[in-house]
Amino acid sequence: MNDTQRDLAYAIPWRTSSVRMGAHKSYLSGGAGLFRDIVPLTTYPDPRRLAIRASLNDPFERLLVRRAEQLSTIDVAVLVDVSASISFEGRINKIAIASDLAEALAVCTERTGDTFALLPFDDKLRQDLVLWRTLSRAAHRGAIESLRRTIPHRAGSEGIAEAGAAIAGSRKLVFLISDFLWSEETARTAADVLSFHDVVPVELRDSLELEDLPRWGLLNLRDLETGRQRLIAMRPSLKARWLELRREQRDRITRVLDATSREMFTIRDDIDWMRLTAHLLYGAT
Amino acid sequence: MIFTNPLWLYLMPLALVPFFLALQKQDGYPALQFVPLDRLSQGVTWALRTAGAVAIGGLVLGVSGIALRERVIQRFGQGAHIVLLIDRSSSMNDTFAGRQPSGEEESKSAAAKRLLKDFVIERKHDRFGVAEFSTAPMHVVPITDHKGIVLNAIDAIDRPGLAFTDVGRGLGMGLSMIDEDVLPGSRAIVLVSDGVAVVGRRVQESLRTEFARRPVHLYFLYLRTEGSNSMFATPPPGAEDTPQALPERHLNIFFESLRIPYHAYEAENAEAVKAAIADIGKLEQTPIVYTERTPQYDLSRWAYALAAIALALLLAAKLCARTLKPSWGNAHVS
Repeated sequence: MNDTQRDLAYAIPWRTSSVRMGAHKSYLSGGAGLFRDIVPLTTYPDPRRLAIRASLNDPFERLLVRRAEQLSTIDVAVLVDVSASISFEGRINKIAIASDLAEALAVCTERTGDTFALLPFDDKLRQDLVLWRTLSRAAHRGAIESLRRTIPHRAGSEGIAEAGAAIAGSRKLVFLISDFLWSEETARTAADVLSFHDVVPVELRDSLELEDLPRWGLLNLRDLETGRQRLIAMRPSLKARWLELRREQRDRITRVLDATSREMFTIRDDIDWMRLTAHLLYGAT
Repeated sequence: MIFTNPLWLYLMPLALVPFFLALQKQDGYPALQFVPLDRLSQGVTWALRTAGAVAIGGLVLGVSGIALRERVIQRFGQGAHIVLLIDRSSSMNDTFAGRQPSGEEESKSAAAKRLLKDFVIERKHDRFGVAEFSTAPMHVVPITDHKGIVLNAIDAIDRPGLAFTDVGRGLGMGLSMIDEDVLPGSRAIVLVSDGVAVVGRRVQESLRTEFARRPVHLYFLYLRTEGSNSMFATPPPGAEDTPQALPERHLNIFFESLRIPYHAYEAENAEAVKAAIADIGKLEQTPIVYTERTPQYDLSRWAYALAAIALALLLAAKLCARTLKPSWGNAHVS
């Protein structure tokens, strides 16, 4: 892990209701930090924060105290699609990229005191790889290492429903890492089960799987999920149709996901950590 | 269709392998359902599978030694079954002038050999037999359609001959050769001689019955030596007109009395022989059944050629094949 990776940061555009002190805005009020409001001492019985000037000015002669914003923790959940299609290896190993990203996010949560959960899924939630939310750094490392060693082999991404159910409850920051070569139905399921959370879809793409396809020649491809084999006589017109078809599919998926989640972040060939940080802090630019 | 090594044919089911197993190197691809279907690719796929099957099948057929069986086809044509009955007496080795051949002169047998060979070669559908006679008849070649043997037999007629000319027994042998020939068709005996001895009365009688038993055309090609008697000439009154004095004339008379289709030709030089033979050729034009033999034909070279074409196609496809692997190492180092 290098320093740029360590510099990853995220922010949330909503308030958490977590009671533990952390780094994110919450509904709670506390003693320190950004000023929030002035309330009667009876409401917030902390005489250390007595607002003298405000109390003197109060026409009802009440004792008023300052109240500050309480920063709290949030729960971060990383949902990783480990269906067989992820095992495509062109310029990148998508599992390695996903593991790097999860590791950077884990470091990030450790720094701010957020909890970290890792939920790999294929057609089911992968119970053998799952890490329930925890603050334990060793557990984070272990889960990420076992994710890195995973060889995806099962077809289907329907496990997103199970994973979504597993993280139901309070609002969380959810990273959904996948290649999104999904059916529209799966995308809709994902949007439904995760609609309560703050979802950041992260798309993993390899330029060799689309943009850098050869213009001419015979490609002998085997579907990583179904095992079906096809010989494709590549030519520029077919490549154009291919790109078009794939773009339409991506549009359909993003349209479904956009309804309930943040804008999709696409990793093509390599993670641009600065751009990812900017995306997480300020949204898509 | 025959095979020299049929055991190899047990490998034939391997030809189906390309239809069930993908033989080419494959690249994994995340989701083929988002790849457009197209006709050309499907066509290429099936073409390559077929090429694979053809390549394996062709090689197996080639190794097993596929060949077309030897065939005998019966055909109808124009011609006859002809027995060449050739005089081998020593006078045949003389020229038409009655001398030993010297310089560019041609002996009677050499002329007969040359012209008969042309005749045999020219008559494609005829079947020929060769018999010779001098002191005793010689059975040389039975009636056959192997032209090579017949030509070789005719080649041998200008070897130095023997003394006498027993035409009666020669004719008997020619008739017996015709008896042995079972195929349908018109039969003819071509008697080539340069002077004959007397045919005895009893031999004449038996020949008469023999000729009466079967339809045979008879051609008598008399190679007359200069100065000898013509067989058509009637001797001047007072001259001796006996078979002993004029054997050719009396043989001719005997043949004419047989009541069979008979032609006599008297030739005093090679041109006359040629004309006579051409005439015989014209006369012997009856429909006959003849057989044509097609030898066993080795098809394995074609099988190998087919396999080679298929393999070339596969090789071309191999050279066109592209891979999704990056040409340099994995860009992502974690």
